[in-house]
Amino acid sequence: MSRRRAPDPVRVLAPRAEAGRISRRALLGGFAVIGTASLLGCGSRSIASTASTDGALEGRLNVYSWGDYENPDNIRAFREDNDVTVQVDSFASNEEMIAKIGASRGTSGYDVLVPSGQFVPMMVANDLLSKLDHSLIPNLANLEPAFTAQPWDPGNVHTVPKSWGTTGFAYDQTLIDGRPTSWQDFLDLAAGQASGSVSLLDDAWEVASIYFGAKGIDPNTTDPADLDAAEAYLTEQLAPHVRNFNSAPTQSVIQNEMALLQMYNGDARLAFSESDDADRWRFVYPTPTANLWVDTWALARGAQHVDSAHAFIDFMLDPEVAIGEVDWNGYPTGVAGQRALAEEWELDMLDLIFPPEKVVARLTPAELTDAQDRLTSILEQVQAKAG
Amino acid sequence: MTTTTVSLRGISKAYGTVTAVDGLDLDIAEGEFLSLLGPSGCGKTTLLRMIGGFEEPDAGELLLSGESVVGVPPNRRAVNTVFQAYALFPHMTVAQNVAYGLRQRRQGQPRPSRAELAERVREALALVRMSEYADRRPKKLSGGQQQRVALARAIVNRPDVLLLDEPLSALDRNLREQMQVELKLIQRQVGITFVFVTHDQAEALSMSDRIVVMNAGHIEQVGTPQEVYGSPATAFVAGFIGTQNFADGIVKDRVVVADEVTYAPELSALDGLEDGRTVRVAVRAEAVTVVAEPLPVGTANTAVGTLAGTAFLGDVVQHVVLCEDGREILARTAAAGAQPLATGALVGVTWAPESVHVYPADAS
Amino acid sequence: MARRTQRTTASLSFPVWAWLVFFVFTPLALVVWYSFGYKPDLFTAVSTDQLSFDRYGEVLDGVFMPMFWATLRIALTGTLLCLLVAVPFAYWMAVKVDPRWRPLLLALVLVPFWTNFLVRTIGWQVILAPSGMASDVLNAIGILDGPLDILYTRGAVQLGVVYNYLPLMILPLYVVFERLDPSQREASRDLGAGRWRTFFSVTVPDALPGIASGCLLVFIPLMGDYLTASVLGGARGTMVGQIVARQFTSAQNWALGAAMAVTLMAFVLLTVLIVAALFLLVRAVVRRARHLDLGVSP
Repeated sequence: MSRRRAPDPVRVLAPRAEAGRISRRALLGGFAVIGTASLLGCGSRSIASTASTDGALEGRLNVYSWGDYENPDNIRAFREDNDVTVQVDSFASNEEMIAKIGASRGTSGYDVLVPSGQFVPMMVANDLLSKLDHSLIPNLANLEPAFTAQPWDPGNVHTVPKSWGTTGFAYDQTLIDGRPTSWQDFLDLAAGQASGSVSLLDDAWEVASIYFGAKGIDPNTTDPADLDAAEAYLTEQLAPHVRNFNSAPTQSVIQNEMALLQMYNGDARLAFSESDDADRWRFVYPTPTANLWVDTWALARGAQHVDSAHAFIDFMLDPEVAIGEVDWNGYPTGVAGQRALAEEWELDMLDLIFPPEKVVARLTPAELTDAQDRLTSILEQVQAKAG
Repeated sequence: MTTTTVSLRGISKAYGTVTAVDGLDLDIAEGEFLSLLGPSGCGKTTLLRMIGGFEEPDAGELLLSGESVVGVPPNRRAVNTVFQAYALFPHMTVAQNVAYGLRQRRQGQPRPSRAELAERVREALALVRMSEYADRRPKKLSGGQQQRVALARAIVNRPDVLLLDEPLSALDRNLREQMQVELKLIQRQVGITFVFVTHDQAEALSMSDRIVVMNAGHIEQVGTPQEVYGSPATAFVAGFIGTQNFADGIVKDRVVVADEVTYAPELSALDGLEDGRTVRVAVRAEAVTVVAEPLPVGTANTAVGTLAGTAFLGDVVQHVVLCEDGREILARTAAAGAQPLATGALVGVTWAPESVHVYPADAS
Repeated sequence: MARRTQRTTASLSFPVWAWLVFFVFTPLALVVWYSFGYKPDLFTAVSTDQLSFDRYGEVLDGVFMPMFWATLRIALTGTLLCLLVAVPFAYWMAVKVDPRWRPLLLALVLVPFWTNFLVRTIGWQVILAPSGMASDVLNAIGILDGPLDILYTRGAVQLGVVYNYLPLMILPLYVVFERLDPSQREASRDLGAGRWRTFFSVTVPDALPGIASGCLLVFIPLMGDYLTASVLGGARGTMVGQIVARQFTSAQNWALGAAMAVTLMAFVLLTVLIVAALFLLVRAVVRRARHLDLGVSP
């Protein structure tokens, strides 16, 4: 009497004919092959090419920017006026963005990027950006002359300025006496009245520039002696007093967590406007110099929605749209006549948005130099010694 | 004069709306082997657990060796339990399991020395014949072996009372009967009061000095095995012990008439029961004899029917006789010397008057 | 018939093997491969045309090691605190609570997991701020005089990790406590042991597998955690995971990051092995002490 066998469950996974032949060894062997192949596939060197323009706006646009950096009203306006779906993704640092764009070799899917100016030359050198078609950006004429000749991209070949700002520090007047004005004052306060309650930016260049600024050295120096001195001072004299490293410490101000914070002017303005107790805080544009950073709109290599990208950038250069950005993130754009518009729009704390002329004149834009690795290492040392 | 080790007065326990034990009184004598016998849900396990301290009675008095133990936790009672699932500690060896109780600190008693500990454990293991397994882990032992270790673990502490919660129910028949004999011998040897819970009447009958038959939270009868077997006090006890033939009938002229069959018990059995009263009669199967020549219908203490079947039970033979009115009568006789009877043949059954037990029909 | 079953089993385990190969072994192999590379220039993250052990040298010489010890302290303390909180709670839930309420309690334990890890950690940042709720409450009841100073310290990180990882300790403990035979506990009480004695002599040894899994489930991810420290720790509460993560974000030195990652994994494994060995040692000593020599020949 033959026994009835239950239907072979393997049937669900593989054709009956194959099922019997899959042995464990063969299975593992198969995986090894597939696994190695996938690893090898990671080594491809070619970059996808950018689509060409044809005058018609594509239905979609992918923007890769810093978090919460664009005014949602502007985005919505662009979307409705042009019937383009705009997707905005965010990154937390230039390095992160560059790593992602670089690794994807043009297939990231992003069209518009927002790199900081100092990283642009390198991105161009590594073929990560596409040239802008100026004929599609008539509003370039609205730019202030200074912003058409930035050292990292003279003539706006690859980029257009988006927002710019500077670094300073905010302090709690109820906890700190006196009127600090310079980076040296900052260092003295950190070691003195504000000890244990100091927040620094989580940025290698910015932290080192505190020392260079205080000692009158060019913050973009690559002199090893300067760098050694900076490391020694920062790790021994500043680090022990630092409580936290945060590049956007608005919450710390609002929650009164610290006495002294190195921060960007726009973040300070935002913090003061949201704080219950704004009067106790004061922001300083320190002497002798500080960073002048510019975030830019750039076109990614391998972008597929090129017409929409150009239309978007052009849209953002319209003064009425640009002032909306100023209102949103508190930083000036490169567009001319914004100060007047700001007064019209009745924005508050204008001095925090638009640094005074004499301040702007003494600012030093950060450059990406060979010292970058050393600066990163110094920051690590400071963070290790902190607290 | 025997001393009372355990004394229960008016013990009650309810779980929500369900009454487990209802106003129970009982005295357990020192050194006796007492069984609590009854069907599931009768409250015997609850009662046992109350003596052990794992449950507290809602009302009533509970005395151990004359002292009230209501509210006293199990670790402070001079009582030990053998659990139904043995509950041996898996990460300890047999010897360590047995030694566990001895290692615990007791009030007013010094901890035994290492040597004394070893001696007592050795003794206990020898008693249950598990000496060679001293260093084994419980999971390497069979059910019967675990059973014996559990017993040793409890006995080694020399408790006043040993509680056994259906300890043999997981064993197969042969092992069970073997263990019944062993348990009885051990109990005699150590002289500890045993309170034994079981639902198996044969087990209770074979091992106990006294049996407490329980039903629905109260005691039906307390007596020696002979008393409970021979003179069941209520219909329930009669039905629970042994195999009974029941019939409902009406008292009439000193006999009980149940349809076509007349039951004529001994006269004293009908005391207090007037004519016309509905009663329930019980006749033990062992008391019923099958005869090849049926007696005339209507004769007292007889019935007529066809032999529906014969079952061979090893030591006894059980006949099933089907009467005309549909009633089934069971008869058991010793297998040896039983006369062979043809299935389907017309036969008669008969029994002696003293084996007819009468119970009022409305008695609970 | 046996051969057929073997092949069937091999085929049925296909999804698991595939997952392991593609999502565990291959990425791990990639990380180890990168750890032998180097950072060729400012922009490129990693290059493997020249292989060496130099990155490992950098790891062991740099800030990694002191940070590792600090993290180890936080992780061990955190695991222990989780254990201390979870054991009574899981025991209560598994043994004392009416079985009807257990699923509800379990769900409540898991509710924080429905929120994103980062979001609930930021929640603590708000609560622990000097002007936050915790400060107000502590001042109101008089324990504290002045603003709460715990944010951006190691203490805040310790609190945060215990909060975030507690459910991972509670669940395996609950499972193992629930499976325990209640009659064993009764037997222990019956034999004269009090509640605490019963817990340590009977319940805990039975529950050891659950305790071990709970500890591993908490300790290992905790060693690599960097979110909690980033949000609550400030400068003083840095954990080694942050340094590793930084190599892949701002520093863009994947080779160094990979070497750090491999070193971290190796050290964590080593720690676990050491603790396991210690435990076995302790257990052997206890067993020896408890051993009864009956002088009975087998």
